[in-house]
Amino acid sequence: MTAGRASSVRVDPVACTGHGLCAAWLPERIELDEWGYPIVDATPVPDELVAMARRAAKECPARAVLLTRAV
Amino acid sequence: MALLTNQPARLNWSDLHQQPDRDHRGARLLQALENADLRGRGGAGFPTATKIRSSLGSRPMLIVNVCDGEPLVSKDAVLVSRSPGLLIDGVALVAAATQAREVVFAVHADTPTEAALRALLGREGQLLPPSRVMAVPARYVSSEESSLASRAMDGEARPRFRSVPLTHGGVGGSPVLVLNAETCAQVAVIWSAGPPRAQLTRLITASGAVRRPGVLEVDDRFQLAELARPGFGEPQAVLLGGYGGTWLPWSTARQHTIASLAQSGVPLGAGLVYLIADECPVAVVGVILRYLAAESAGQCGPCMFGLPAVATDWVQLLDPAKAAAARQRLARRLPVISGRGACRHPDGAVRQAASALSVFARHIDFHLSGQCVRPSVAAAAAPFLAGAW
Repeated sequence: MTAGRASSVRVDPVACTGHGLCAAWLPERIELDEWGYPIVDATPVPDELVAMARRAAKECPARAVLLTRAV
Repeated sequence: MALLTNQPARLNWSDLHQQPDRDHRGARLLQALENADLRGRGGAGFPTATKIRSSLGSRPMLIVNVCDGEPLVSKDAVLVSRSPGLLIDGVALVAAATQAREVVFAVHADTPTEAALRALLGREGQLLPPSRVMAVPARYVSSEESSLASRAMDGEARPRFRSVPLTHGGVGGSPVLVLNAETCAQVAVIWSAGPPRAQLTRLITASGAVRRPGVLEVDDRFQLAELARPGFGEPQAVLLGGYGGTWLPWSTARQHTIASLAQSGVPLGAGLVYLIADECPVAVVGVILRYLAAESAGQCGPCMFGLPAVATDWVQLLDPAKAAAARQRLARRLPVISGRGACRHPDGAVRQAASALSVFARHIDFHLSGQCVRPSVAAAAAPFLAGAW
């Protein structure tokens, strides 16, 4: 996941319990629905947002936010 | 009618597992499936050749889905009782092509089909790799493919999130190939007869206000109009695919053939064709939406909160004091629920609600002006709930 290698955000919907922290860390890709669950934009994350995307994954209490290399 | 086609002669079993021919036969099988453009008959309609190809050489566990997970659909059960040879032959062909390490027949627990499958494997199981019958709870999502994979690996029969496909070990770490029973039978038909694409048949389950309820084999030219009862009033609409399917007004549907439905992008899913004539369609949709909400595995937020919310909105659509707000909520909710679960269950509920909203718009207006005189929710619910459990 180095610069230049596009990544996108995914959420494991079974693990997700709707804490909502991810949307606070990465509002550019994640918004919350009316029940507090993330709606994810899978568009690749640009380099300048990768650190925040990693933070969103790291801070998720349910470990439900995943960063995947876009195919 | 014949199920399927002319019940072709059985495989030459002595050849099937002979090493020198095996790879060659696998390649020919995949080519035949591609030529016929066989798509999965369990609901999702994924190209079967692509799915099998991704399992080549991985010695997968082959799970054959014989659950008829759609409450009103009974094609898998009919297949087991009427065409068991085709089922076994198709499973054997796929098992040989992929060198499956094990074959698991998944079926709803304590059904006549479970007993029939056990008897069938008793008679013919020696023709397959090690095989067994796996009984699963008769819940709507328990026969979803990741649920079956999970169950087979001693887990619960609940949909699982996969970051890699099942065929690459997405559940439990080892490769799993899940195929619907009819799909397997079609593999045997294609292998033995090689029907060109246009002649490939499919099994549909006719239900509701039809001439004759039950499973029938139809080809591309079959017209939905043939299902209606002569001498009765026109049906209002038809539900295609399953509970998580698509409503079409009968005035449109009656002009369709199986081929033209596919061309217009209406999926036939698990093959349900339910005609509604006399009942209040809005009540029927309400029952289905409540059923789908109750059948959520309760794992993913958008499904466990979204589906009950949509079912409640649907009821409030009929209350003049609440209808406008309910309509706004549905317009906001339906587009964001799809595609966010571990399985496609919420997507199906959204398809049901969205197509009903459009097809039954006028009937909803009848309710708001107090003019619906069709049978009530309770009366309309009876056949559905009887079929569901």
